[in-house]
Amino acid sequence: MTVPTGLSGPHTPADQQVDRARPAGLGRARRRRVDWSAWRAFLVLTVPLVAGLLIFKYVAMAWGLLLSFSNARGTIAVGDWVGLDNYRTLFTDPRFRDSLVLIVIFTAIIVPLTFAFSLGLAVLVNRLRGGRALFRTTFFLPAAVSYVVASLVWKMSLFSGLPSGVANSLTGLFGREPSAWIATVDPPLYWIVLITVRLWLQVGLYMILFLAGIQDIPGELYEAARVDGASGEWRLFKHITFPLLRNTSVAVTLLLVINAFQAFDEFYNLLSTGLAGGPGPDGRPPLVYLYDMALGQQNYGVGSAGAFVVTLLIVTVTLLQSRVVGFGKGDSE
Amino acid sequence: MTASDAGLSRRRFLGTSVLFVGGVALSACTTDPTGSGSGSDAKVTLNHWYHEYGEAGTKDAAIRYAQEYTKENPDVAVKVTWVPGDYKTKWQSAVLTPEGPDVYEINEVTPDMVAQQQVATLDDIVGSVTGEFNPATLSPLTHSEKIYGVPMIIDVMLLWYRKSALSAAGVAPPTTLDELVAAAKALTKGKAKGLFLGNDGFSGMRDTMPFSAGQQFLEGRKVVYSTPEVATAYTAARKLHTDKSLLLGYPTEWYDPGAFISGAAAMVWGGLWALPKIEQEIPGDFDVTPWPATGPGGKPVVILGGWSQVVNGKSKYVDEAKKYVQWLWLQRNDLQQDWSLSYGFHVPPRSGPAEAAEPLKTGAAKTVVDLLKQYGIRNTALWAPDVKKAHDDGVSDILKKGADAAATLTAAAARSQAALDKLPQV
Repeated sequence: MTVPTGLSGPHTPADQQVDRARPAGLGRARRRRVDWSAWRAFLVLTVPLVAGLLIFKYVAMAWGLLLSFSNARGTIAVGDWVGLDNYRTLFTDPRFRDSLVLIVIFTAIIVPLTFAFSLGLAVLVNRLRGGRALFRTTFFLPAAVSYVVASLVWKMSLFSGLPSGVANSLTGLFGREPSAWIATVDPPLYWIVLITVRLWLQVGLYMILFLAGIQDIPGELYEAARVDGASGEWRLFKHITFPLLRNTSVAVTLLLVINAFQAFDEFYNLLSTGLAGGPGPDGRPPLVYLYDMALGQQNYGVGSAGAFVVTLLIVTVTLLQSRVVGFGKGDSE
Repeated sequence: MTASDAGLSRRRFLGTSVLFVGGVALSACTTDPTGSGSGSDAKVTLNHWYHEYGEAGTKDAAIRYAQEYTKENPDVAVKVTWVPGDYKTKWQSAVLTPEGPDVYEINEVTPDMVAQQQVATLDDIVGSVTGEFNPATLSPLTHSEKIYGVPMIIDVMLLWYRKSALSAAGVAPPTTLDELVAAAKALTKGKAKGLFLGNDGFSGMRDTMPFSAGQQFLEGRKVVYSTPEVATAYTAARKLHTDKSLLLGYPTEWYDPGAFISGAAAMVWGGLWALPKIEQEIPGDFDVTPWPATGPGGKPVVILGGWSQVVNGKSKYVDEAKKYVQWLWLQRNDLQQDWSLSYGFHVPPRSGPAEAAEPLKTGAAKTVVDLLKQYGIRNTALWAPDVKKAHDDGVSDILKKGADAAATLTAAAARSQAALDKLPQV
C-alpha cells in the first residue's frame, strides 16, 4: 500500500522507488506507535461483538448445519450421521411443501400491499402543510407494538368470533351473520386477519423509509418539470418521485420479502389453540413447522435441515430480485 | 434527606434498583434450596421443576413439600423452580444440558426421551405398587414394561352441559354422536352456540374419536386408526362445522370454564379441574356425560390426562431424586391428596388416596369418578407428538374443509406409521 506523495513532474523509476519507500517507511514507524493504542481500542470495542457473533451466530449456524446431517432426536449431539435423510424427510412431508406454498402466497400478497400502502401514505404525509409530525408519528406508532400484543388484540377484540367482536359488529350492520374469522379456513377468512395485522404493524416503518427518500429528492426537479409543462400530481409522481425512489423501493422490497418469509409471530399467536399445540395445517408457515419439529417433537436434525432450506429459499429469492431490479447498480449509472 | 446526604448517587441508585428488580424477578421463579436457608448443610441439592399450575396456593404447597422433605432428610435440599409460560419447550431445552432439572413433570414419556436418557427407569420405586394405579395412567409412561414416571394427578376430561339450556330446547343429554350433532344444532340459538370443543373446532375430539367408534389408535407399533368406522365418525362430526353449531373464536380456550359459565355454549368439552369454579358460578345447573359412542361397536369415552413426575436420567443424583419422588408421590398419601384436592380439583392416581378423598364422594365429582372408572381411557406411550401430528392434521382437513374422510385417514395413517417406525425401539 502506498501513500500519495503529492509530488508532481516526471520521475524515473528509481526516483519513484525512493519516493515510495520514504513515506512508506515513515508511515510504518508512525503506524507502529499509533497502532498500539488504536489496536487496543479496536480490540476492546470489537472483540466482544465479534466473539459474540462467532459464538452465538456462526458456531451455532455451523452446529446447525452439522445437526441437519445427523439423526438428532432428543439430543443436540452430532455424530450419528444420516446424510441427506433429514432433507428427504422434509421434502416427502406434504405438510412441509404446503408450508412453503403458504409462505410464498403470503409473501406475494403482503409485500405489494405493504409497499403500496406505505408509499401512498408517505406521499400523502409529505404533501401535508401542517401537522406532518403528528401524522408521521401516528402512522409510525404501530411499528413499536409487538407482534404478540397486536395478535392478541386482533384475536380477542377485532376479529373475535363472538357477535360482539368489532369485525362481526361491522359486518352485522350489513346483515351478515357473525363469523369465526380466525377458525374459518373454508372460505379462508383467517387470511384477512393475518394480512391486516401485519399490514398495520409494518406500514408505518416503511412509510418512514419512503418519506426519507422523498425528502431527499431535490425540489428543483419538480419546479423544472413544471416549467417544462408537466402538470398534474400523478404525472409528477410517475415521472419524478417514483423513479427517483428506486433505491429506496428496492431496499424496502428486499426487507419486506425477507420479513415475510420469516413470518412466525402472528401465525403462532393468532392460530395456536393453547394446550392443543401450534397452528393447524392451514396456517403453518415454515418457521412454525420447524419450531414444532424441533421444540414440539424434539427432532432437532430435521428442524435444522428445514432452517437451511428456508435460508436457501430467502437467499435465492433475494438474489433473483436483485438480478431483476439491479440492486446497487443505481450509483454507477 | 437528599440523595447526596445518603451518599446515593444516581448511578448507584439505578444499579441498586436494577439488582433489586432482577432479584425479585429471579425469586419469583425459583426458591432458595430448602436446606441452605435453614442453616443446615445439605450435601445434595435437587432441582425440581413444575409447570405453572393455575390454582392459587399450588406453588406454596410445592415449596412446603420440599421443605418438609429436607426436614426429614437434612442431607438433601430441594430447589423448586416454578416455570411459567411454555413449559414444554423449556424443559426440553434444559434437559439437553448438564444443568437440567433432576426431577420434572411431563404428560407422557416418548421413546426419544428414553433413548436419550432424559428419564430414568423408576421400576425400583413404582414396581411394587403398580397395582394401586389406574392402568391407563401408567400406559403413557411405560416402554417395554419398564416404568419411567410416577403419576401425580389425573385430569379427567369429558362433556359438560347446562341442564336448563337442554330442557329449554327439549333435548336429552346425547348418548350417540348423531344425537350430539342434533343437540348442538338445536341448542344453537341467538348468541349462544350448541357446543364448544376449543377454538380450533376439534381440540376436544383429538384423542377420543377412534375410541368412541370402538377402534384404537395404535396396536403395539402398528397404526390402526384408519378404519371405515372412524371415517364414518369423522364424517358425521363434520356436520358440527357445516351446521355452524360450534362455538369458535372465543377469548378463552376449552380448558377454561369461561365459555360454559357465560352461556356462550350450552355443551362444552372440559376438565374436572374446573368443577369448583363451575359449581360456584352456576350451582345445580350443570351435569357431565362421557363423549358419546358412535356406530354399532362404539362405546362412550372419558379421557384421562394429567401430569407425571420423572427423574432426569442424566442427573448427578438419580438415586437421591428417586428417593424424593418415592417419598412425595408414593409414600406421603396426605400430600398427594392435598396436591390433588386442596387447590384445584383432580383425582389422585393411586387408589388409596383416591378412595379416601371425601370431596370425590359426592355430587358431580362422584359422577365424574364413576364415569372415569367405567370409560376412562388414554393412549399409549407410542402416541408420540410426531405420530399424532399426521392424525390431527388429517382430522382438521376432514372437519374444517370437508376432505374425504376415508382417503384422508389412509394417507394420515401412512404418515403416522412412517413417524412411528422412526421412533427408537426402547
